[in-house]
Order: sequence, then structure tokens, then C-alpha cells
Amino acid sequence: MTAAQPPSSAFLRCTQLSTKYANRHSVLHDVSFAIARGERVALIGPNGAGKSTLLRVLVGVQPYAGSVSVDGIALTPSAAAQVRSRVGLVFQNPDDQLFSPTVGDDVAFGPAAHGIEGDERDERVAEALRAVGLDAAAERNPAHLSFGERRRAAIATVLSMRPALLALDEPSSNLDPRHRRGLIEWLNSRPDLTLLLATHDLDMAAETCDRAILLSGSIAADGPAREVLSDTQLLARHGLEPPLGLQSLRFRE
Amino acid sequence: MLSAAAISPERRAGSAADPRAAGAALIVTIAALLLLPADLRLLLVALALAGLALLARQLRRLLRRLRLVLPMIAVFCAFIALRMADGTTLYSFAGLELTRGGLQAATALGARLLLLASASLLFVLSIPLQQLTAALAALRLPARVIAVLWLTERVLVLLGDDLRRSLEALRVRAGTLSRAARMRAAARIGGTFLLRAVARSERLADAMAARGFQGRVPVLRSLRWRSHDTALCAGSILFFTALWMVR
Ligand SMILES: Nc1ncnc2c1ncn2[C@@H]1O[C@H](COP(=O)(O)OP(=O)(O)OP(=O)(O)O)[C@@H](O)[C@H]1O
Ligand SMILES: [Mg+2]
Repeated sequence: MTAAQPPSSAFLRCTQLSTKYANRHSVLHDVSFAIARGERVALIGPNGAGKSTLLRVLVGVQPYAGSVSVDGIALTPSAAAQVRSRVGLVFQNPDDQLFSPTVGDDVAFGPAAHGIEGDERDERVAEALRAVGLDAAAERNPAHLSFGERRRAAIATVLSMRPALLALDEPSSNLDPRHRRGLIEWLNSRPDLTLLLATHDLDMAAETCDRAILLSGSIAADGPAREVLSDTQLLARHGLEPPLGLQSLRFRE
Repeated sequence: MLSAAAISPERRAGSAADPRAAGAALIVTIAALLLLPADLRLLLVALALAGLALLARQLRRLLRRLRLVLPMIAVFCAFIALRMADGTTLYSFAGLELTRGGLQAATALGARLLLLASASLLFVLSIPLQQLTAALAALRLPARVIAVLWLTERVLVLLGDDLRRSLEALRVRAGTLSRAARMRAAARIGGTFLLRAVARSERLADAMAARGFQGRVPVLRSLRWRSHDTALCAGSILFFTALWMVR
């Protein structure tokens, strides 16, 4: 499988991206891909493949070499604020994401930091909480929520920012089946969304994404979700288990 | 279904006092506690503070926090009592003398300190962080100062949670350990806690930056001065003026 040709109207473009953590060998090496506006991409790969690291690069909290541009803006320290208003990242660990005294305040933080006030902000907060089924928890302390509830709250904190590119890191882990289903349906009800979904939940990837990138330090495969996710040998080579009922895998279309 | 109005700032502000009113009342209280002579009037102040705490539904938390402050005040007062040789000796032991004057001075000072601590704690307990941020912004304090206060509170609360979790994990696993092994484990947790605290703070900073934080804490609550805020201000001034006039 060869890397898909980057569309000319790329919304996100990474070219020869490399990054590493302090005194450690490289985590990502020579990663190049582009995502067009409205495209939905699943980012899959074994533990330690660098999926979370790649997402952290995209919001400008992880230094990198190479080039990254979002909506035509090169991601440099001085342009990070502009990029962050376009890319919303839900961190893998909700405890890294939630820091306010109440859930409602946390969900309002992003819009407020971007200068959105009053009714518009309240409207967004209510909508985001509704999308994750936490409408009744606005006044609660995030630390007192269950882990799955915290994950949903973390997702709401980014939905309220209405980012052009939504980057989700393992959004379905720790969700019960009903809320996982709810999240899938919410994502599918937003055809305008540009989505980058890092996940081990290959069923969810198939249901919500059109394209899949298999990451393992560098890009091992990049192509239509249907092809990548049903290539059992490819998946096995990278320590991934194909979804149980391959035939029953529901693809988005 | 939840409408946007259900979480509007007015609704969120609840019935808590406006931080500006509470701040003014706190300043009046501190001034009065420094100026009032130490007599039974301090008891009235204590009763008034307890009443306010009860109204704000913070009495229990206030007493719990005071327990932490009490030992410090007690040590300080004991030191004062033993250092002041004044009047008849009540008790002497190993070269130390407790005099009537020393005891009186220490009691007066202790009562004052206790009341000052209670008033300040009550303020901190009953004004939510977001309200305080809004009030400080309204008072045109520099954004940087507000951000430092806000971050300090947040980091302390989050790290406190982390520490509690580590200690819980230790307690769960320490059942079969000897006392010495348990002490060693606690010391190790103390060490790793510091390292983790740094990592945690970094991740907190990342999460905030990723959502557009650039050094200015967004004001999420609108302030509303209501009749009970006027009552709080006027009440505290009248109360202390009355105490001052009474002989
Ligand atoms: N803060 C850090 N300091 C040093 N190394 C790190 C740090 N965070 C991650 N790494 C290392 O970088 C590599 C990639 O980590 P990353 O979290 O991006 O993997 P991942 O693909 O998201 O894995 P998972 O599926 O487990 O979430 C791992 O080998 C990890 O040990
Ligand atoms: Mg990860």
C-alpha cells in the first residue's frame, strides 16, 4: 500500500516530521501525510507507536523537526495560538485535560480563552455537554466523576471550541457501550468535521473514518480504511488484532 | 433537555456573597480585630463569625481547617506566655515562669489570632475561585498576578488529589508490610511525588496551552452585587462600630 497523494487542498500537512523526547531515541521519524478538509482519518498502531506524540505535535506542545502546517499556517511557536484555535485535541488521559473546579467551567475554558463570551459561550457549553450526555454534571467537580465520565467531560471541553480539526486520542477507552455508541453517532452526525482519531478500537475507526494511517514510529500504511483495516497480515505484523468479526465490520459510507 | 439559560452566570453565581462585599467585610473585620481591646467583645465577634459560617454552610469545613491552624497558634502563645514576666508568678518549673500578666497577654493574643484566622478562612472557603478571579479582574489587577493566584490554587488542589491517590495505593498494598518497610515506601512515595508533581504541572500547562491559554485567566462568572452584599458590608461596619462604642 502506498501513501495516498496529499490532496492539493490539504487542511493539515506534515512533511518529514520527526520528534523525540528528552534523551531518548526518536519516537517519530520521517512522517509525511496530509489531511484534506472534511476528511476523517483513523490513526492506528501498537502501544508506543507515537500516536499520542503525533497529536501533541499538532497542537504545538511537542517540539518537532520537519514542517507542519494547518489551514495554510506553518506551526511555529509564534503561530501556535492561531493553530490551536483550529485544532482541538482531547488528550489520552482525561486527568491531564480537566483542571477547573467544575465541569461547566472546564468546558467553558477553551471558548473563553478564545474570547467567546455571554450567550454564545453558554450555548456552546450546553451543546458540548449534551453531546457527551453530561448535561446534568455542569456543576460537579471533575475529580468526583467516574473515569468514563471524566473522559466524556474531557471530550466536551474540546467540542465546545468547535475546532475545524478534531483530534481525539483513544476517545472510546473506558466508555460503556451506550456512550461509545453515542460518541460514534455524534461524530457521524457531523459530516463537516475534519477528524483525526487515534485509537485501538478498530471497529470504531471503521465506523467513523474513511481513511486509516498505520503508525509505528513512521508511517507503515496509509489508505482507505476499508483496505487498511481488513489487511489482517499487515495488522498482525504490527501487533494489532483485526476486529473479531471482520465480515461484520461496519464501514462508514 | 438543558437550555443555555440553565448554566447562565446568574444561575451559577448561586446565593454566595459577591467577593467584593466579602472582601470589604474581611478588611473591616481585620481592622476591628487589631483595634478592639481584648475583652468579652471578642466573644461577640466569634459568635458573629460562627453565625456567618453557618449561613454560608461552611461551619464544619471552617472548624476542620481551624484544627490545622490551632497547633501553630498554641505554640506561639505558649512562647509569649513564658517570655512575659509580669505580675504574680502562677507556676514555675525548671527556670521557666508563668506569670498572670504573661497568661493574660497570651490569651488575648491567641484569641485575636484565632479570630483573624477564622475570618480569613471563612472568606477563602465561601468565595469560589472563579468568583474571586472575576472580582480581581474587575479590580483591574494585572492579568499576570491573577494567573499566578489561579494557577497556584489549581496546582495545589490537583497535586493534593494526586498525593491522596498515592497514599491510598500505599495503604491498600501496605497491609502485609512491616512498619519499617511501610516507612520506606512512604518516603519513596514522597520522593516520586515531587517528580510526578513536576510532570503533572507540565501536562497541566500543555492542556491549558492546547485550549488557547496565553497567560490571561478567562473570567467565567459575571459579578452581581445584590441586596445581601450591601447587607454584609453595612452589617459588618455597623457591628464593629457598635462594639467599639460599647464600654
Ligand atoms: N513524556 C515522555 N518522556 C519520554 N518518553 C515518552 C514520553 N511520552 C511518551 N514517551 C515515549 O514515546 C513513545 C511514544 O509514546 P506515545 O504515547 O506517543 O505512544 P502511543 O502510540 O500513543 O501509545 P498508546 O497506544 O499506548 O497510547 C513511547 O515509547 C513512550 O515511552
Ligand atoms: Mg497514546
